[in-house]
Formats: sequence, structure tokens, C-alpha cells
Amino acid sequence: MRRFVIKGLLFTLLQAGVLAGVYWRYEPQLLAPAGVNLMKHDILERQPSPRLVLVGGSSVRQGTSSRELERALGYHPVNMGLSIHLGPYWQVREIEPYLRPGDVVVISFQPRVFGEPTHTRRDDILYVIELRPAYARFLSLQDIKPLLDRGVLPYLTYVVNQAITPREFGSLRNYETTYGDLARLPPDDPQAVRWLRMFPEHWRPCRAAGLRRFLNRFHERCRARGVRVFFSFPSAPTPRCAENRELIEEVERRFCTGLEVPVLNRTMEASLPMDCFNDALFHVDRKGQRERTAMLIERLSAALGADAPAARQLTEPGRRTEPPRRRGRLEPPPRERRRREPAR
Amino acid sequence: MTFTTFTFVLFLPLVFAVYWTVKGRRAQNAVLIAASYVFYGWWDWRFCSLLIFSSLLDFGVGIGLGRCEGRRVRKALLGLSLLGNLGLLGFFKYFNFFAENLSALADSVGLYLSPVTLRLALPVGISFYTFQTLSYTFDVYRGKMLPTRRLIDYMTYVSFFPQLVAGPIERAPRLLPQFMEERRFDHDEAVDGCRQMLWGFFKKLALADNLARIVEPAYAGPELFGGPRLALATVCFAFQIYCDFSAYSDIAIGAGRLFGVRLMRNFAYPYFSQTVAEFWRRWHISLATWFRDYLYIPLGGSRVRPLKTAWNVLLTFVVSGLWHGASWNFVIWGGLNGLATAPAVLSPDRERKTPQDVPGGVRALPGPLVLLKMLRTFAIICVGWVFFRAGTLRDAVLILTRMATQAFSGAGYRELALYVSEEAAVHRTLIVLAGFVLVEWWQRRRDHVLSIGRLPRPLRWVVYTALIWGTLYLARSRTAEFIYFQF
Repeated sequence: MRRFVIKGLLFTLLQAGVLAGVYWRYEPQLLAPAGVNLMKHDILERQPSPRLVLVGGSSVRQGTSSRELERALGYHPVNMGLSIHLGPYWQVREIEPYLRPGDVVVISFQPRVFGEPTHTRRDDILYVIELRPAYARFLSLQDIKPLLDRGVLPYLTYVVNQAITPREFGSLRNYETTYGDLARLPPDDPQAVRWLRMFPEHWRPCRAAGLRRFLNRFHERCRARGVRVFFSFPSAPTPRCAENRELIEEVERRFCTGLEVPVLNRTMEASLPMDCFNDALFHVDRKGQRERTAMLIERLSAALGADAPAARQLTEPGRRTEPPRRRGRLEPPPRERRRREPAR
Repeated sequence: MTFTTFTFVLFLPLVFAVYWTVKGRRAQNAVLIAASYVFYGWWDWRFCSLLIFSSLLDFGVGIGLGRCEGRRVRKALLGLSLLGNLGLLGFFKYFNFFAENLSALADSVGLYLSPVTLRLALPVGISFYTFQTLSYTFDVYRGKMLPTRRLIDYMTYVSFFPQLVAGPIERAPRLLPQFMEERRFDHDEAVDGCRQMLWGFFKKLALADNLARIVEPAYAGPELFGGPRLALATVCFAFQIYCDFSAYSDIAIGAGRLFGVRLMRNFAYPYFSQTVAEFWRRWHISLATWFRDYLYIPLGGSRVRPLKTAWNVLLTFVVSGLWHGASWNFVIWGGLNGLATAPAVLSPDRERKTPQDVPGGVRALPGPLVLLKMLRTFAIICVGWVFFRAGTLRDAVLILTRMATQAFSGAGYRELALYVSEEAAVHRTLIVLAGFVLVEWWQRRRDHVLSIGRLPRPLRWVVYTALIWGTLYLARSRTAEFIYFQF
């Protein structure tokens, strides 16, 4: 046994050495999608109140036109649509400290979040923490198990890949508008829209009691601070919704029973034709964006009533945002800097 | 808990350390039971109750069988075990299938029956551990072994975490005695177990998950692709399921060896088989022998008239198809394999190759005839895999039709060439797959591919290190569950 343990320790030491070598070659990609988190935080802090904060995954990120929302509702929209791989708890926890009285929050999660198995990776949390370690405070107990199960190994895979064959990501300027909307949609992939499943195999809805309790508590805290919270199911292709109607309705019934957060729309109400989608089931294209934005405006106007600020006339065209530099963390990585320096 | 998670990387050394720290059989078994329930409950703690129920039922039935002499009482006890275990399995796995088919049947004769379907989570591994506990009851009933009176040993036998959720399906006469005495640490066994696990991780993460990338789109929307692309997806699926499932078995067997427990071999290089019958002696050996011993032989096996033998083979394969899942696709898959196996079983001059025989012969390179036979067997098995993998019967027929009718379609091959050349991940995976097949062929005499104990240590360590980091480099960021978890 002793021989085995000693050999095991030596072998572990050798692997630790290789890992150190890998990290030495690895450079966190500040322009990778995780960097968008930091940029969106800066937008959230910068936008004046009252704000309309849209929270969710990639379906939110490219789901609406914030400019239209601003024009119609008078709020300053902040699109906090991030990666689904951050998980619902993280996504809500990371906006909460920045909310101010008068703000409106619209949370939107795909129906598959409310069931099992989710199979969703959680490595994005690690990329964000790597870029800004202080954000570890957004980690909750609910994130630990998925992080160990589906976060660490994908993260290591990414680190090894980046160390061996580094992949450059596009500039942040191309990613988001002033509001945090996706400025340029990814290329169309109609095949992916057709073959991607709405729910994973053997998926079943669960009571999602933990998430519901968490959202109820969040709603309560927000109400005490003068912030209004709504929930909106994202848009999905009508034929897919029809195929999965029974399952979707069961998800919504289970999740919405006991949910204190007002629900703006159900999935079936928000469904859109197949040609309104871009490269995945919940990713709308420009046409889909217009439809979904119009629906949100209608539902939010009705829900907010007289509380909504006056609709505003926009004079300024939707401009591209500047990468935030205040914290000095979003400088281009050294490799990028080296390339920009003129040759001597 | 899945093997391919960081949680397991932390869990295994922890259990290993506690297990070898405690002294005595009872303490070792207690550690294994606790670890196994944590491992199983990691998915959903409620599933543990089913494991406890299944364990207690067969433990009690075993004791009852040991005490009772009367034939009727013994039969009643066996019936109770069958009812409990198969009832559990039927409720979770087959209820919806039968409800929907009954409703469709009633509909066809003009009656309307609203199908009552349940949306139940299939407890992971239920098909495996119910079969394992059933085998204990059968063996006690037939007098092949004495029932155990030690609950703790029996619970360890049922719940032993490395093989709990996807096998190998062990037999009580082989595994239970190992838990009835204190295990002693064997350095060479533990080291070779680690090697076997490492090879399993490589197969799952570097190959199976990447092959899934080629298979998934083709099988999700077969109408969008031409015959050659569908054929590539089918071949890739054949290797995906092999790499996936044999990886699980390798990790399970390797982990078992770390705890001083020998589990049975589950795969013996099946794709080098020269007949379908040989394939089934090399593929999922623990399940195939289970059905052989508890279904095929009690039905009469091959000691009855040829027609009855053929029927027995067919029935055994159909039932094994149904074991995989409640769908007509699995029934057809089983039936096809039964039809392909029956001639070899009936043949008077059949050559019985056991898993211990070197597959493909002992020569370094296979002769043309052997190669042709291996390719023919592989092609037949692939036809079956189409039914196994396709979402619906309609999809399976469409895929086979396209593969047959577009076998010589220039456009289809152009589409395939474009797909393979444009997608870096695809051609990288195919290159790794080709290397994998060569390494398997080279090492086919060994129990597992990474049996390299005779190489000098520095070289071995270089191989291990390259495998670990190569696996991490090739692994997909999204690791899929093991395919056999759904069964």
C-alpha cells in the first residue's frame, strides 16, 4: 500500500507540473464571451434609473430590441442576457446588488431549466471568476454541485485547448450595443434550429421548488426596495411548441403554481414561426426580435400601468458601447497588445 | 454521480483512503455501502429507496428459500421476487409503452381508451441492479448457492458503486463471496486497475463524446442528409456506443480492482468478430450470459429441435432488446440480431469462439477472408444499430433506405467529403478513431488495451501522462451521459 501511495503521489506531482506548464502557456481570453459579463455589469452600473433589466440566457441576449423597448416604455433597458451555462441562481444573484428603486426586472428562462436532467455545463462561472475573482461572491450553494459535476472538467478542457492551440475571440465592440443587446447576430443555421431538441432525451419536468422559492424571495426583497420583477417565458418555434405542448404546459403549471413573480407570458403565447429563428431553438433573428419586443411592450405596458415612465423620443442612434476600462481589467490580453505594437 | 465528473475524481480517492484505513470485512463493506449510496443518491436521493427495497426483498426471499423445503412455497417466494423486481422495472420502464400501445390497439378496433401515461424519471441503473438481485434469487432457488444471512454483505453485493448503474451485471456466486471476507490490498491489481480506468476515460471523453457530434445531427434529422453521410453516422454510432459502454465497464472494473474486488469482463474486442454469434459472445458479456443462463437455457437452449432452438434464440434476443427500452425499435433490433445469430447456433459444424480466444486470429495482420468476415459481421451489426439509435421506426427505415439507394450517389459523397474536410473536429475524430482501432487490434490478446506493465516505468509514465492530457485536449466541453444510463 505504501509503495502505491508513494507512486501515486509522485505521479500526481508530475501531473501538477504539467498543469503548471499548461497554465503558464494559458492566457485568459478577456474578449471571450465570459468577458461580456463584465461589460454588461458596467452597463448595468452606468445606465441611469429607472432601468428595465432583462435577465436570462442567450435567448434574452439576442431576444429583444432594447431600443424599441426604451422608445415605447421609457425605461433604460439593460440586457443582462448571458450564458445559460451560468445557471439561473448565478444570473439572478449577479444583478441583485446593482438594482435601484424604480427598476423593473424581467426574468426569462427556457422551460428546460425547470426539469431534469439539465446537462447544462457550468464552466462559464469559472471563466467569469477567473476574469474578476471578486465575482465569486455570486456563487451560491446551489451552484456547487453542478460546478463540480459539469463545470471543472469542461473548464480544464478549455484551458488545455487554449494553452495548446489558442483561439482568438472577436472584439467586444462587435458583441454588444449600449444596452447589452447582441449587435451582430451569429450566422443563420436553419438546420440546427430544425434538429436541436427543445428538451433533452429522458427529460422530465420537476417541481423546481428550490428555484421557485429562490425567485419568490428575490421578488420579496426587490419589492421592499421598490423594484418590480416579472417572469416571461422565451419565444420558441411554433411547430416545436405544438409538438411539446403537453410537456411545456406541465412545466409551466408546476413552476407557476406558487410563484409570486407575475408571469407576463407563457411559451405558447410567445411562440413564433420557424423562420423567426436564427441558429438555435430559442435564438430569434431580427424579425423574431421585432415580434418578441412588441409582445413584451404590450404585456409590460399592461402590467406596469401608470407606473411606467413616459415613452421617450430617442434622438441618438443606438451606438456601440465602449469596452469598460474603469477597473482596468478589460484591457486586451498581452498577445493582442503585442500584435498592435508597431514593429521595431 | 457520473465517472466523468470532477466530483468522481475527488470521491474515488476519498473512498479509497477510508476503505483501506478501516480493518475487517464488516467495516470495509460498511464503507462501500455508504459510498455506494452517496454515489447513487448524487442523482436523486429518492432513488436510494428503490435500491434498498430491491436489496431487502431478495435478501428476505433468499432466506425464505433457504428455510423452506416445500416446492409450492419456494415457487411462491420466487414469484414474489419476480413480481417485486420486474414490477418495479415494469412500472418505471414499460408502463407508458404498454399504455400507449394498448390505447392504439383499442383505437384500431374502434374503441377509445385515453392512454394514461406517467412522466416518471427512470431511476438510473434500475435494469442493472434488478437483474443482479434476480440472479441471486434464481441461483438460490436452483440450489446453485446457499443464501447469505449477512445483510451487510448482501447490500454491498447489490450496491457496489463501480458497477451499480451500468454493470457489468455480476452473479452472486462470483461476487458475493468476495464481500464475505476481508479484502487485502494487491499493489499490481490496483496499478493495473488504474490503467484500465485511464483507458476507459480516454475512450469515453476523447472518442465516444466526439463521435456523438457526428451521429447526433444525422439521427436527429435524417431527412436532411444523403446516404453516405448517414452511413458515416451509423459507423460512428457503432464505435460511439462501443467506446461509451466499454469505457464504463473499464472504469468500473478498474475501480473495483482498486478495492480488491474482481468484476467480470464485459467486452472482448467485439468488432473483430467473424460472425454475429461470436460478436454476441464478446459484446456486453455479462448481460448476454445472464440471458443465456436464466432465459435461453431454461427455455431448452440448443438441446431441443432445431426449429425450437431457433425460436429460443429469437425470443432471447427480442427480450434482450426489450430490456434496453420500451420501444418497437429495440424489439426489431433484438429480432434482427436473433435472426442473424440463429444460423450460427443451428449450424452443426459451428466453431465456438470464447471471449478468451484471440479475436481475428493470432496473426499480426488478418488474412483477406478473415478481414471480409469481420467486415460482413460489422455491416450486419450496423444495420441493427440503425434501429437501436433512430428516434422512431420511420427514421430507421428512412436511414436504411437512403443508405441502400444512395450508396453510389456522387452528390452524397461530395456532401460527405465537404463535411469531413470542412469540420476540423470531424476529421480529427476520425483520425483518432482509426488510431484507436489499430491499437485495439495490436493489443487484442490482452484483457484491456493499456496492459503495458512490462514496459519500462519512464515510458509507461509518459504514456499515462500523454493519455491524460490528450484526453483533456480532445474532450468536448460538453460531456454526455453514458448511453447505457438510459437503460
